[in-house]
Amino acid sequence: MSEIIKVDGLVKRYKELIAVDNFSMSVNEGEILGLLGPNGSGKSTTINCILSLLEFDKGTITIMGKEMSPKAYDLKSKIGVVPQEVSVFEELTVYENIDFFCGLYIKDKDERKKKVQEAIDFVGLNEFKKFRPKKLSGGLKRRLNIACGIAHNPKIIFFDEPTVAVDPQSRNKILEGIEELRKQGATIIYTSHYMEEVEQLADRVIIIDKGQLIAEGSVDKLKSMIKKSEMIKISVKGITDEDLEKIKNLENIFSVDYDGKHLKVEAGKGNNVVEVIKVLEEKGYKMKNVYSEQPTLNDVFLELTGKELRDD
Amino acid sequence: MMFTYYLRKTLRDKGFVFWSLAFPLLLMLCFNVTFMGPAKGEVDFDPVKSSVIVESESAFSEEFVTVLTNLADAETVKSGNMGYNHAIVELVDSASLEEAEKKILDKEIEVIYLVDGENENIEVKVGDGANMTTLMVARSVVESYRRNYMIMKDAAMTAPDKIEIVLASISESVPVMKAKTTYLGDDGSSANVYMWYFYSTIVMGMFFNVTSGIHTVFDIQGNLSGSGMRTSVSPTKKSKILLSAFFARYALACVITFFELFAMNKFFNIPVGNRLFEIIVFVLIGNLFSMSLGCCFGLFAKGDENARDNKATAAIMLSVFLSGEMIVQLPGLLEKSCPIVNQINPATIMNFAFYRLVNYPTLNGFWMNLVKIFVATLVFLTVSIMKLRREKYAAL
Repeated sequence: MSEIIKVDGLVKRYKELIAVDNFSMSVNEGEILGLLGPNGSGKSTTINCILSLLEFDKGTITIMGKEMSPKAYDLKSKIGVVPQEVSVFEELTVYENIDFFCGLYIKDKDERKKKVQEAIDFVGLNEFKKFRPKKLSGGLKRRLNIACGIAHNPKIIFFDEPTVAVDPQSRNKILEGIEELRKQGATIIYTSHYMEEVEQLADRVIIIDKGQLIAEGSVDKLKSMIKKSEMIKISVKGITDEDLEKIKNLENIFSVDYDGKHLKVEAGKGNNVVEVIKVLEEKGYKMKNVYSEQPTLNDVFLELTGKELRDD
Repeated sequence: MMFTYYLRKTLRDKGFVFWSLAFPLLLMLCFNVTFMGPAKGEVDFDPVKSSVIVESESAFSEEFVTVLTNLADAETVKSGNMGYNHAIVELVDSASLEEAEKKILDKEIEVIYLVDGENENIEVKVGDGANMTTLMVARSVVESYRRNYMIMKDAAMTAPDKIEIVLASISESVPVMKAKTTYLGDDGSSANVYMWYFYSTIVMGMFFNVTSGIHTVFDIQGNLSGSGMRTSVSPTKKSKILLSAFFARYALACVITFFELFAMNKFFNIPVGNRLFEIIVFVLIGNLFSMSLGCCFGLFAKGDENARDNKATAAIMLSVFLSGEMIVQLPGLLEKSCPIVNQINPATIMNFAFYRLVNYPTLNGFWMNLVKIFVATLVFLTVSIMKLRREKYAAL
């Protein structure tokens, strides 16, 4: 896969605050890149710099090998943007909004008509196309927001937290749509602070915090970068301190937490569940439920930065 | 395509339609009912029979007698549908106060105006059986005369070159008297000060388009709105989007102003004169001014779109208020106490421009006022374009 976007040494300052700090990244053609970080980490700032909306202090940004600038109209015509906030005109209908924003890219009326209808079908707003945005639910508005950004069939699409404040049904619809767009050949840059979405969608993830790149790679690769590999949860009563100490001393066990009913064991790589159960069985404890949870991107973020990814 | 959509968007903007079209028309209707309705209803009362007794002579008493004579001479005083269809005073000669008092007792007259010219004082005497109309007319005549005389006297002493402005804005409670004391149009028609309310409303309607300027800026500036961000990242040139957004609203604003002028003339019978070219220039420049001012508000004021709308609307309200929209004598009073306000207040400048356009034989004053507004427009437009040309922002 060839590099379609390259950001090198990007620095963006707001007076004393460094929003993006010597940040470099690349996006490969046809992939979904997840840009993951807490609120205020610099995700949107980076995207806005790439889109040539924001001035930046240092660094270079190239798209398809050409330097991105406000006057790079040929590059702009290949880009679609779905902003974080629903950015449509309240006075226009669903159809008119999509037609208006599509019209900024496609001048031919017949071609535009076709593409607008395709976009409406794609986001499932066919029965709402004569509605004004204020009559739509939050989820439907988000879908309209997406349709306005993708109607012109862009090669590169930026999704800036497109599922904020969206109901689960609409969220699934949006995520399915994004996967479909990738199948159609689009390159997608997806920013979010919802790690589950990024895990589900992204081929590659870049974790960003305080404007700096913390880690990058596939979800599996990122998870393999941390020591903790699973969290074992067992419902069991009456474990003695001596037995807890025994579990704590097992290989690959990082921490043990017990409240009299629930045992939580944080463990590294290895056959940990079996080992813990073995100790409990030997001592005759009656276990009810046993769970083993794999680490999430939040765990990755927690281990790399010492704080939770999701701060809301 | 963009022009059509911006046009459609603006037409569906309830705030725009209300403030630019519905509100001015409603206000005109209110003015019509308030000022013209009762006046029309009072045409049936008989002229108030009055005598003037001058105790001591001066310019004050001389002018008062002239005014009363004019009021008595007026057969029909009409401007549009305003004023009375006959004189409201009938002068009856009385050689002395005693004779006049006798006439009151004999019910030959209803009012005596006792004028002390030296002390600039007028005493009103009415008979026991005087009705409310008589009392109101007598009081109105004296109060109006006294007020106008003082304003005129002050203006003549302090700013003789501004006397026409004072004249034009003097408000009176008696339409007949007002018709006599204000400027007479070149076609001989009486220029009624109540026109000022209507002209001011037209100007107010135009100035409310300041919000259209704000919305134009918000529609295209990437750092102000999401839709602006969308347009900024598109391959369509910003200048093209700006022109579409601006001129769609501007065209609509001009059409609305023409409609308001038409309505004012046809439905409320307020004269607009017959200088079509100048009226068109007036409408074009007035709306261009408010749009460009709106662009500046949109670009430089603080707060979200609503906050900027509110600030701009407040500024416009103040400007329109100072121009006499609610208190028609305000520009005249300001001319005496703080003339700079009239000189820099755009609503006052535009009001005078239109007043002169309709009522004055020459157009020098009209063009001078329009040039002032046009220069301000150019400044606002230049500043706005300088800012709008920027395609990358320091912050979003």
